[in-house]
Amino acid sequence: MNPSDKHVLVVGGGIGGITAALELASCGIHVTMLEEGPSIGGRMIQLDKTFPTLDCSSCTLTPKMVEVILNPRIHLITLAKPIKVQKDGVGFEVTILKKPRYVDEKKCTACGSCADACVMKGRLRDEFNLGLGKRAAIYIPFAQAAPQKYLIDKEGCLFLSRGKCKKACMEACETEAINFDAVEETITSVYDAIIVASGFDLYDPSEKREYGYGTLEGVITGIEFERLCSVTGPTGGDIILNGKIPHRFYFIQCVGSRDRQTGARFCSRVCCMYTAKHASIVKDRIKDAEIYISYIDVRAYGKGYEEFYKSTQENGVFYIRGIPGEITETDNGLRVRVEDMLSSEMREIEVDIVVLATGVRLRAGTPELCRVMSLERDEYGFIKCDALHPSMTNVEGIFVCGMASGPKDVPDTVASAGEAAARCMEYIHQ
Amino acid sequence: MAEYKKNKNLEIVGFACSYCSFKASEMAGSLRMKYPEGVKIVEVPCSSRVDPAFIIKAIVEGADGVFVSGCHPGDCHFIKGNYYTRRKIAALKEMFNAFSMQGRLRLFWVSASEARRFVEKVSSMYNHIKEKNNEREKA
Amino acid sequence: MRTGIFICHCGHNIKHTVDVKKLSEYFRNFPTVVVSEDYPFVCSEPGQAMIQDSIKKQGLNRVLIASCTPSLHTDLFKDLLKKSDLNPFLLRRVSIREHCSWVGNDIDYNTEKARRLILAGLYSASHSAPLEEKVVDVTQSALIIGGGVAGLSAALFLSRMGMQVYLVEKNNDLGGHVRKLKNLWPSGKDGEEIINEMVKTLQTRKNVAIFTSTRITGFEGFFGNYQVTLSTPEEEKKLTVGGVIIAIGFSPFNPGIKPELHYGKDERIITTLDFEDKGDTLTLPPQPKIAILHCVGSRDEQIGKLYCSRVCCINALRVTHALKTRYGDAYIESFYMDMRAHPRGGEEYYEDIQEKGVLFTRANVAEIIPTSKGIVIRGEDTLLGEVFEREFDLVVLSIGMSPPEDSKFIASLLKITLDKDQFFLEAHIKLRPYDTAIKGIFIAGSCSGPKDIEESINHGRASAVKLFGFLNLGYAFVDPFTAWVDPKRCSGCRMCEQACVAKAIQFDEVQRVVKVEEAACMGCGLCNATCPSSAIMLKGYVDSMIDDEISAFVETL
Repeated sequence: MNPSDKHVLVVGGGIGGITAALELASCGIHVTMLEEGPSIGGRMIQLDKTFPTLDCSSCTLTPKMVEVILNPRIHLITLAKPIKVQKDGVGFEVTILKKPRYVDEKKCTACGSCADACVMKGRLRDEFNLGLGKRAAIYIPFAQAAPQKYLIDKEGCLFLSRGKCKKACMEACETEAINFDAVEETITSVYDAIIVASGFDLYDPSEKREYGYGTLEGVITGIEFERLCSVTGPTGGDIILNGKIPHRFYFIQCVGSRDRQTGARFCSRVCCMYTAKHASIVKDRIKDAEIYISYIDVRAYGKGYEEFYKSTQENGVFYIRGIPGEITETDNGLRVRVEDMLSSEMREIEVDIVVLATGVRLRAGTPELCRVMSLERDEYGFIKCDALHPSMTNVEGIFVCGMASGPKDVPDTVASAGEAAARCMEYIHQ
Repeated sequence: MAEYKKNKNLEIVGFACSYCSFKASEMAGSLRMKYPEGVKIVEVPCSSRVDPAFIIKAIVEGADGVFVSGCHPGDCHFIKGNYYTRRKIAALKEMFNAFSMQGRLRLFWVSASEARRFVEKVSSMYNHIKEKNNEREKA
Repeated sequence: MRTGIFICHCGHNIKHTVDVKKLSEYFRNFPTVVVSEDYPFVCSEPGQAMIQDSIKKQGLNRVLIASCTPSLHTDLFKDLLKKSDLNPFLLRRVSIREHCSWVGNDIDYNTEKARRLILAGLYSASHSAPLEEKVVDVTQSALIIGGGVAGLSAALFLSRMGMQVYLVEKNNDLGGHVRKLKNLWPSGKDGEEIINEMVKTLQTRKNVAIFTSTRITGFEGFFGNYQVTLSTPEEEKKLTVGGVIIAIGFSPFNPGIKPELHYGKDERIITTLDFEDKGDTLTLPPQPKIAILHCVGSRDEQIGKLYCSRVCCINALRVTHALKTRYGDAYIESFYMDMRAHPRGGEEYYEDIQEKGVLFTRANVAEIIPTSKGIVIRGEDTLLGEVFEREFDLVVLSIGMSPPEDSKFIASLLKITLDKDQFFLEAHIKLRPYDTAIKGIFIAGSCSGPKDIEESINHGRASAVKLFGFLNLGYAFVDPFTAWVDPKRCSGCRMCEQACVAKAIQFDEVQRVVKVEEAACMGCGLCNATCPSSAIMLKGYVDSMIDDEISAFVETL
């Protein structure tokens, strides 16, 4: 096999896609990586710390992101996704839709003057921060984005959506990088194999009325809490909600997982650990914090996880076996009603903030992606694969890794991406 | 001079080998284990790189103590380096003892996963020297 | 000397307890420092771009990065220097995170410590010299130690890619523990079937040499060229390989070390592994009462095994299911602490078994007592808050995974490390779960920590891909930190030659000085420390550098 003849398409720029791409490239294979959003980094870059070592998530991931950008064999296309996939011999002909950035990547220096000048500054929902912060119509998702380039949000931009704006951004830009005439592009290419690493979304708990998410102030999700803890987040890493520092925390595990009611019977595998992580972060930053965690079973199964869980308990975090039935508002906070199964009593605990440890779901664009690639999904929507051939899908030549094939944590995602790279290489080595 | 030293941190210079003890010190950091701020570490590929002249220089220039740490005997990445270290430091300790400087030079073995052991060794050395210094002030 | 100092905040990991702004300002005053900046994430794209920009605009010839520990991201920063046309060894890394901000409490003391550390870096940077990376030929072959499912997976991949594979197994048969398992979950297949398929394929490959009943008894060399000695009782064989994947599996926990379980004292107390062997031949009374005990040998402070063995909850469920299927009218009760049914399909499996009428009791079991009537289990039901005593006809202990028997031996031989539980230690728990600290040596499967079959296959193949990536060019770059002799200073005393462990120093009879054989030099620096004339130096760790570091560390105010 002459590796440099081969070309693989990796769909998804999170830690799974990044790992698979780097492994393939190190074996001499050319990789095109597609990322639907404006930057690679996936979910992991939204995290403050990772369990169980409380390592800084950005610090472990950004060097890998840079490796991808600098690797001569990896071609990254952002704001792109496959819209048509057809078999072409043993490979695939893929039509890629690339959305316009409206900013010339070759000219943009990421100076930020455009965002400062934008009339929509501070008015649009910042998706990266899950709506906890605001941004302008021309923006960069986060400071360490890769590629380091700004983009314009078509719907939010006055000029692009309504045709009327003084375009202060263009005036501010010293390199004339802004181009409102940019259009969608379709690119058609042939690849020898495809690896899908499209990642995940978090469950939206709005339908669980008993928790009051979306109606009660002070009820947020785990990923939102993660953004509050992050130095790159809307509060610079200070845990502040509605202008105040909360002191009494209630974390509820298994929201949207192991849940017959919403049909998600599976375990999301990461929430027990990320909740313990959140509790540790709080204990570290808010010295007199009172912390409760509701659980059914604590799944601390990985390396170092049990020890981390134990030390969280020993640090004074109260684990309550039993999931709350109701959260109500009080004069100065929230009240959580829960049956404590170990003490067999009904308890009412007053807190300042409730964090729902929401479970994982397939990422929003993936069902469409599966349709395009004719990939079979399981009853929960994750891409189907089996335990003895972990990255194999029903389509020969298309492989899957990471959360797209079911919940898993970072080390398992990295290993599954390596396995997918191996299986992919065997396939193209025919 | 003596008064001044009592108020500030002790200066401890340590030599740690890349494969074992330096890794343990990294892990101690990852685990957020705390040890006195006066401890500063020079990374060397093998503990056998440590020339006794370095240790003497450190003391002469004002260090309160010096430690050398390496892999457990038998585990040296360079096979026998730590045996040479053991002999050199033993000889140097004799000299230190002659100058009534017992305890200011320590040698200990730490493997890469023994973060706790590293912290314990370093902290106990620091505290021991601090106590001795305090005793001397009183005398 | 034009030095650029870049101090990383590392988000708030450094900034939190070290005053980075004060430091970057302080260093601006040094005559050799042209740039001194602090930045949130120096390793990120904008951080790198900033450094690259500074190098170009300010004509820097030394770069000092004060951030996380040097074993992280150094390759990245070295590449950055190369791109800016600077020799990558003119980079100096100072750890102000793992060795300062994370281990100290007081911001003032920490900042002062960071100042000294950076000062040491600055002084020693002035002694950094440009070095050329060594290119070494690598042998394109792999040694796989252990013929279980992880080792077999790795062997299959590497041989498919055309690499010579040596698979060594100490037992007579390949297949490890999986071979002995029947009716696996969720596939329903027997382990033997899976293993046989893999072995059959391997046996057809001409580039695979399988050694059973063989052990590793010798191991030397460096990445790309490891010399391995394989031994059987009859003979010895020496091989040269480019890399190694350790896949020696695990040992099943022996409940005999917990006397309160009375394992081995009564044939009605068995382990899940015993069930694999004897399950078919069990004779139980009609309407038998069966107990399954979870967490035997895991999460147990008393025996020093705090870790979770990850697979035993599902394994226990599998055995429970088999028992309920065979003895439809049995009363089956499972005693557990936390039900860890997290794998794909595990939750549903757990619910289904509950629906079949198996009782799950959250409990702390204190003792298992064999009596002439039945086996009595005494414990505390943690949900009801009651102590109980119940009698059973059969008790199945769901045992955990202990580290493999030979973990200490292999670790010592290959010079890799074990973690606190005696499993192999990975290089980074998140992003490098199957690398070790030594390039070219990988760990796959349960030898680094409990794993199920899917995970073992993943690790086996992922580590194989990585190894393939390292070796496929046929050559590799190695750090040039070898010894170098200044013939003018050498007095020919030959003390270094005597000391050198690698036998890399030769005496030149004609010139009456010593010479270093670069290819053999390991880079330990023993010669440098031994030489009385400072004639032989370890590149990258020369005397003047270390001297200056020491001076900076103890700089009295």
